[in-house]
Amino acid sequence: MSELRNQPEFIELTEVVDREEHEFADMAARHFKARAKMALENDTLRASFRGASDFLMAKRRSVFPDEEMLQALRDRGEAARQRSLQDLPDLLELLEQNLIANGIQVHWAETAQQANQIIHDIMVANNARSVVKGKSMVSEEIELNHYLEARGIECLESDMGEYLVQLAKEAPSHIVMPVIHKNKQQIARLMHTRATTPDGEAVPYSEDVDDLIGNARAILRQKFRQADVGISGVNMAIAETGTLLLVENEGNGRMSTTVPPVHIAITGIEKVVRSLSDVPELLTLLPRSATGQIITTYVNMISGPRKAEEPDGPEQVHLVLLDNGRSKMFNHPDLKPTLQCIRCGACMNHCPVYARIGGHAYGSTYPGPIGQVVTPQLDSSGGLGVHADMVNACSLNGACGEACPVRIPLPDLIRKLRAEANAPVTVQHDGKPHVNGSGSHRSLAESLIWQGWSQLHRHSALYRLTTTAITKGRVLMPSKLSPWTNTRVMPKPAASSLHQLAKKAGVPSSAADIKTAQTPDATDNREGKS
Amino acid sequence: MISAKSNILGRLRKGQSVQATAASRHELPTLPRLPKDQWKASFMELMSANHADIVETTEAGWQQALVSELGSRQIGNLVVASRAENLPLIEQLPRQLSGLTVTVFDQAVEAGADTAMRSTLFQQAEAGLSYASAALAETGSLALVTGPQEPRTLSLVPPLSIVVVRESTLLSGVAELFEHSFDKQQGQLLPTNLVLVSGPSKTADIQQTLAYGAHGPKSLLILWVNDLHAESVG
Amino acid sequence: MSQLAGAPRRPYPPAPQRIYLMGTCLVDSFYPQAGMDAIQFFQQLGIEVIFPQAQTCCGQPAWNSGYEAEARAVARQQLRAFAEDIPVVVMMGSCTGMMHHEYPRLFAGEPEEQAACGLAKRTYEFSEFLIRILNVGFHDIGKTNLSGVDSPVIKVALHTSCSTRRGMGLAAEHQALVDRLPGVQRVEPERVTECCGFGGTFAVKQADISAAMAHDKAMAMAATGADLMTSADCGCLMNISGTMQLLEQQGQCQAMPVKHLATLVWEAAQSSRVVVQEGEA
Ligand code: SF4
Repeated sequence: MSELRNQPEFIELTEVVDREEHEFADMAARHFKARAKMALENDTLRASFRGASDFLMAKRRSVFPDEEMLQALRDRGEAARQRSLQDLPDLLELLEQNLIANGIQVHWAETAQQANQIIHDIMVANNARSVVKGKSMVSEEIELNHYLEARGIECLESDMGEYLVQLAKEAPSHIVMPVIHKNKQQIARLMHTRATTPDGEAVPYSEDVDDLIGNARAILRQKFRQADVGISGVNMAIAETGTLLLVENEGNGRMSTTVPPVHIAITGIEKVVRSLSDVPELLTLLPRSATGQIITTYVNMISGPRKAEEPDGPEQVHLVLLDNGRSKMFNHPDLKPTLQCIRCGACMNHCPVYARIGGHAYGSTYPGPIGQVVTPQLDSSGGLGVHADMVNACSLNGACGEACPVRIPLPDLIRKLRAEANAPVTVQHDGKPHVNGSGSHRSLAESLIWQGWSQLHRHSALYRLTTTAITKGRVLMPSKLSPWTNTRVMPKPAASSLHQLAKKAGVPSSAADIKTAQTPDATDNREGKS
Repeated sequence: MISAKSNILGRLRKGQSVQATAASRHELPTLPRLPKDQWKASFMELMSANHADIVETTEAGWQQALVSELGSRQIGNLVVASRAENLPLIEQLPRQLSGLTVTVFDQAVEAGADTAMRSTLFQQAEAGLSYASAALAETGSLALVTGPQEPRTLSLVPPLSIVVVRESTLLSGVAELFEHSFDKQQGQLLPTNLVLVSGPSKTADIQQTLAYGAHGPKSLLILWVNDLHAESVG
Repeated sequence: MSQLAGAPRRPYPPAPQRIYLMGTCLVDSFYPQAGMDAIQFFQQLGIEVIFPQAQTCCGQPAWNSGYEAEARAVARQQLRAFAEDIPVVVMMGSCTGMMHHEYPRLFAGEPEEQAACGLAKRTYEFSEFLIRILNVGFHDIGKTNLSGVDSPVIKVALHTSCSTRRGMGLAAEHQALVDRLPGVQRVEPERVTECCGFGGTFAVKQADISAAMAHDKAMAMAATGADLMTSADCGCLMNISGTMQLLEQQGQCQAMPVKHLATLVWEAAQSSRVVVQEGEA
């Protein structure tokens, strides 16, 4: 133990870091609304997300200078993804066939549990004790780290952001930039108090980003060298060539897939494309939409384990294909576009709700708009019964849909999920595919309100009577109508409704009325339709 | 898990009739590619913006350029692959630069006592020498085709990655690379690992602040061999 | 006169002689004068305005909340109220979006599908109708601007709702309309494209998040220092102005009065000569 660790400053900083860990755990244990409120009240968090959103939106804009080109690219991105989905089962079989021909072993998992077990079995067969992981949101989705750690296997995240999140004992708050919620000072404290250099020392305190990255680099290099297994995600799987394509900037993806003797890749079944010709457009869109880069530092295309004559590379490569609800999404007529996603994160970068509550408030692996859409549909998530509140946390402003490189109509899907959550029994049993938890949030009170509202607005006489009553009764209107008026001054209805004013002014109510009414400036012979 | 596979595929086949793709989606024309006269400028601009160091040289002069770069950067240990082009270098470099050790990556990383090759790579190596199969103008990328002549870790583990690339291999972009070199119908297969490199490794994970040398090389040195207009370069 | 950026997103007919006016439920109860201003404006131009007393609400609140059947029943009433083949001018962008984009989906496979598609095609947002179909211009008749020296220019902060901007793609039309008003200087708040946090029932169901968004929008709006704020979406107007007023009470900013775009247009029409098909032969 180094002396550094006995210093009072060190102990003080440790307490701060521990407190942040507890705050995270505390938040995670609550319901959506409480989590959102906690996030809204945390100024540091708010500043981190606001700054990151502004930065990422500006960066994306800078790499799409030409609006027409952007829209042309989005057309092609959407088309490429839809083509792939059109032939999904065939492409998966073709992929498997070509991967096997290339020497890559293929495993199919219907559930998170199966995927974890497959990976663990591979580890056991190889006598593996340690894992180094490249970035993989699917591995977060199945909570692989917990599964393996419970079985005595060390799992180390190697993406800088993921590594820091793991040190903090938190979860990623963004699918592309996992530690976006912490500022430099927080990360400096974290590295100082929790990281250990290869010599077993504490890392000296520094807020300098180059220092912080340099220290993490030194620690992780050792791990890459020693790990028994490398685990990674996949950005695209190319069926015709049997290739796994990964994009990244740090080099940890290449390290994880290259240095350990066994590489296990895990991906959702939707990530397959037919051929190399499907790649360029998606590869043009992905980094531009994600981080505003023209291309990532590395595009890593793996088409097999090490050959006999090659001096390095893994001896085994495995691919785990995960369903976990995806084949159900494939069967839902309205929600199928969920599967077009290339996980760029642009929707969360552009979401005004995400910018304010951040990723953790969603309480799911995938936050932001795509998280709201995909989470309730994952088998492992508990469905709408657990996540309906998240689906309501959207003003349907459309910023996400406008940013999405593959034109997923995210607001439409969110609206559809609300309908699923509120579905009446008749709809739940109409024989069509439904989301897990369909109807679970139909409340008698709310459905009665909407039925009443609907009755009111489908009968115009009743409607006019009510608006008259509202406008007449404006003096009686309460000036407080929580929750609207907690943060706003109550608007007062006008003295007379437009219906009344128009009637009083003799504005025709139908084309037939015009025959009798004369408009002041109508000099020519207008012919009415009636 | 055979049943998992058939269950998944069964559900997908059932869903294939749902929400068909509009036919027009198949007929979008391909987007224009960068005109050839802008290729080199684009490559140079993007690579420089991504913090790569580029030395323009010639077919006759690149080995000498390599020597002077190694010298000025005070590189003490260079790893090279086992390939014909490297044979003269392996012999001459240590003679031209006293204090330079050249290690040939000609055995498996695990080979040697205490996996000597891996130790060299991770501990002693200060630079690795690679050769790009192509350069891509639209993204500013180098295509590395791995194999015995280009081990995967050679361009990844040492802190300085040096890549020799010839101007004659410049292409518009990744689409052309695939059509040009990896057309399966023509029997052109992908290597076990095709890597596009567009700068030294980096991260912006900490408060969106860019830092170079995340896990891979801290620097990328490109020796740009001007094999098309040899006369114009001194 | 400002040039219009971008090509139109949909085909437009020539200026009609007769229109329907869809007031929308929020205008009906909270901004009825804006509806009357629009009616008088069109009448002054010699356009016959029909205001069906049978109209109620486009159905969007239920639709966005996931109550599809309830929304459909209400939408059906609008199909009846606006049954004849006459263009419909809608006083709010979000209701326009509902009728233009969502009605065809709402009635897909229903007996009224054809009627819904027909209505969708002839539904236009207020500024869209003025700019793209009437192409109005406001010519100086020397009423407000006699000497040209101290012309009273008012600073107007424009809020284009998300449904108008993204749903309908009419941000340019909104700006153009304000820019064409004489004696008006258009300003826009920082992060102009960001949602104000209204979102219908979102403001009630997720009140804390909505309030945080409204707070930021209100502060940005106040920071423009404009004399008044305008929009063609009353939900946003009520949200932003209500928040601004409360913040003013708390001493955090200075609130400004709000007016629907139609009111500004009608006021401009009092002090200038309105020309239809501006700049055309
Ligand atoms: S939904 Fe669209 S924007 Fe969001 S992560 Fe997926 S591809 Fe990117």
